[in-house]
Amino acid sequence: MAIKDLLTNGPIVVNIGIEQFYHDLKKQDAKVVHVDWRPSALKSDLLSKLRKLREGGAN
Amino acid sequence: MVDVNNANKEALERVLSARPMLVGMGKAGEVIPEMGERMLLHAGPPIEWERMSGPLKGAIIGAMLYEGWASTPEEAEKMASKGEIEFDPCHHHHAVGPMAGVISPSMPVFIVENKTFNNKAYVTQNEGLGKVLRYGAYSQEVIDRLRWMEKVLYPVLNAGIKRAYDSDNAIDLKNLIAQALHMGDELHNRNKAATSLFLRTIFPYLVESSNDNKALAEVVRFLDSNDHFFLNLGMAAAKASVEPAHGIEGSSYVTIMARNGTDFGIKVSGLGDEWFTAPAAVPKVLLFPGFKPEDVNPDIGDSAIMETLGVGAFALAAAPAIVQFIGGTPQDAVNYTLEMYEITVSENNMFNIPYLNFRGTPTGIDVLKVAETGISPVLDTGVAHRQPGVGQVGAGIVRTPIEAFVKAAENYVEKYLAE
Amino acid sequence: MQRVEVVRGVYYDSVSLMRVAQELTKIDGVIDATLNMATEANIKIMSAAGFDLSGLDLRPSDLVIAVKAKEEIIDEIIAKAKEYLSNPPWKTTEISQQYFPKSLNGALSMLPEANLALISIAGQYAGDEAMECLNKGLHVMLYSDNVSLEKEIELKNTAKEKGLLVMGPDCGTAVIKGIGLGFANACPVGPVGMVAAAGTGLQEVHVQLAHRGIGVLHAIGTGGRDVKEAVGGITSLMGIEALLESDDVKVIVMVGKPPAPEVEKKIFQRLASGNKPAVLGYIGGELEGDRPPIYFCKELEETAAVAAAVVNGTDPALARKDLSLKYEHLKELASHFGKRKGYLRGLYSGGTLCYEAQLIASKLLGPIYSNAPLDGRYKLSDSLKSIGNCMVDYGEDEFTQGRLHPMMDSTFRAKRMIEEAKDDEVGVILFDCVLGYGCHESPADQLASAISQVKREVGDRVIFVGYVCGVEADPQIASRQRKILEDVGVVLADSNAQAARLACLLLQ
Repeated sequence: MAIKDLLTNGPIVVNIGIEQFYHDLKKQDAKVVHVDWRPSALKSDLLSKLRKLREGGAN
Repeated sequence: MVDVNNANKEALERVLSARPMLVGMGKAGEVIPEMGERMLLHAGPPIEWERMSGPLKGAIIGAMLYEGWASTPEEAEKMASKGEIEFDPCHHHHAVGPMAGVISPSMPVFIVENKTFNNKAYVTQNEGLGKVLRYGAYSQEVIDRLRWMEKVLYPVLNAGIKRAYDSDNAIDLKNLIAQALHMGDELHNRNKAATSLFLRTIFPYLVESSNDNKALAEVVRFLDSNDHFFLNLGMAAAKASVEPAHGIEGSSYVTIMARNGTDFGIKVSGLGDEWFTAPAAVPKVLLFPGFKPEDVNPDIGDSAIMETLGVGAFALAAAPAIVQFIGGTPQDAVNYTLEMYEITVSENNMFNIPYLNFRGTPTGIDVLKVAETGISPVLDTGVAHRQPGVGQVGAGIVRTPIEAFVKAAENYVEKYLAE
Repeated sequence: MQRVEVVRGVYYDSVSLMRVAQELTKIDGVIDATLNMATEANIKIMSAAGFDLSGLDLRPSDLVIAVKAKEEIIDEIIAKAKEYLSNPPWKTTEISQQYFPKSLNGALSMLPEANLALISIAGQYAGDEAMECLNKGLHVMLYSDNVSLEKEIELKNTAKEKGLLVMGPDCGTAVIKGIGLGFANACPVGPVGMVAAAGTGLQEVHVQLAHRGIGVLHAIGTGGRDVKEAVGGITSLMGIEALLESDDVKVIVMVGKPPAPEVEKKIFQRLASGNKPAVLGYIGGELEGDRPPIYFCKELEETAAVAAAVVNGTDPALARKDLSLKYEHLKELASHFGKRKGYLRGLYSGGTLCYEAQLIASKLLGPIYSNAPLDGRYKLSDSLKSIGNCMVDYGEDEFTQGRLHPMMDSTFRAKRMIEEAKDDEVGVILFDCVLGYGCHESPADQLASAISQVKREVGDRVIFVGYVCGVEADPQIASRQRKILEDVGVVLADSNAQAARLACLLLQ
């Protein structure tokens, strides 16, 4: 069902990376938020452990 | 598996339910727990004499002269370097100190009690601006002022505070902080409104409890001339509010952020007594005329307890004028606050920001979120000259070193998630 | 020398005054400058800094401007100080930037109803970030490349379980409900739904449909590896499923290189049992013979022409015939411009456009060298050195390390154009000019300046053949881009396939 909703409602976007894409979506009147992304300060194995921990509780 | 969210919720609730009240004053050596006879407390994590920066060394020399442990600066330095004086963090004694943060036994301190958990916190009286002990000055002018604060300021304030307390009107510090946030203060670098509110609140009690008009006038004039007077009270209120949140199993809530001029250190609720440290940041800020970037001392002071509480730089959106210190716009002030929401457990229920539709300030730094996102907390702070006694050289926004938070996060994973 | 000036009865806060002082000290010849309200404390500070304030009758409501500078400029500096006070040079007049959150959670707290993450960060991080997004219930468009095959499989399996779409990795283009994501053209919306494994392949079909008056509602990108056996076509099949279910989609169009046999079978079976006609544009494929309502095409323009016919209810065979006639007429056009001697050099920003051009050219001219060749024997050892008849895809890894994608910046490609043209063994230079969101604001300008430089040096020895892939509504405005190129003597074709054919005809 989720894909059906995406196609019916249109994209409501979290843009992670190239800022130009954010501006282009705004030009098309799409709802979009741009993430000023930077890599985590943690090594990837630690990061995935922590993310699993978060999945356990609601956040 | 440990429930970090519930543990942090518990920590947050303790902080939000705090009621820090100004209940009295006393001499440090008499009221601060485990204050040794030849002990000096200082800001930040533990540190030995050899590693101390200029302002801290200067403040220690000044304190020793004030106590009469040494009669010249050279003698004081010799005694200190020989280990004849014991140094300990203020934080180890439920106390806090701005900049060098040195507390010696004869110094009068405020006693703040958190009525929700009955824990206390201690802090000295703020000396004012210019050549002062907390910036490492130790000239006769500084010693003389400290003596005046002991002999004149303290008795007058103490009497007023006692009178307020005895008439069931103990000064509610949390209330003053909340009001000041609506008046352009953020309670770290900007305390003008809070100081004014404090003076207004205590004034009748000072008058009623005074029988020495001359002393009273000196005290009032002193409070009026010092825009930062409330900072110390705010810091003790913060310390008293946050301390009960320490020691909760599984919690990643940061309960201390502090600097000693060489190291930056944090403590985390669920990680015991360990300090997680990293080299203190050298602030890049707007400098007063005549000073250069090389003059700047690394970050120093326990005043980061304000951000730990959820104000200071975290409430920058309530004090946009300060952002000019870093060449920004009011939107930048708002952005700093918005950024801090990304690394905190939740929002404050009493400290809020009118411009953000009265949204509560970001409260409860989550060390795991800091490490995950790469966003470390910002501080809004005064900056000292490297050499003792020169004084403040500027003020502005400082980014805390993320390594300290990464260390703590790794420690957390090791302790709670090891398979 | 020093000058102290007093302005009575004003108020400025200390921070503003410090900023002005800071600006003044930047000026050459200024030794020191300080501005302060004349409070007791500030008078002490200024005196300590060496300014002579003796004899001045000062009140806290007075502003003191104190400057130490070379005598010749002191008046000017004082005047500047006053100017900065009323017009601070650091104040921006623009409305300042809103807040960009720094984390996914931060973004979701600002836009809780988000349903898609568009990820274009470095490949080494993109895969994990995509997984985080899936865990938060978001569909993912993974523009990033250099994501491992294992990661892609893990992501798509996880997504499948959750009923979410993963478009990519290396998916540069998508359209959802008419909104373009990544590199996309501003084409009209209509009854076509696309599933595409190829970025510029999607764009070319999208644009060619628009030229035929046919709109596209959705174009689901799958990334280049989706239809390989290892991935099994997970995203392609989910996309097809969604388009079959969508009431607004009447015709399904697929574009990409031919899938692995097992995957191709699954796709065909699903479409055959579906209720909608489908046009399968397997570029460079071998399939012969339509099985209505499923049609097989081998080129991009052909795919669009056939799809248009299906939408209109006219005979696709006729559409193909019309196209063939058009291609025949290119021979006349070639004669008109006059044949050239020498090699063909193609310089492409779009990978699929380059691929299609190679398919066409290899049938007309023989083997084509390339950095991404059809036949491995003809791979260029140095992508920067052409051999024989040659086509270079500037979107390949060796060109994009540390550089913008060629569709975002044609500078590098334009330089190559000049080099190629100077080589007197070269007869025709063929290129694409891709427009749309995400692309450079005027690729034609970047290319035209190189081309006019070449024309000045070598005249008409080399002929430039180009194709502008875009529509009028694109930010760059297609007709304007075409004019810029025509003005420097470029021969423009109406499609990528026609451009490739024309270029070959000009050499034979």
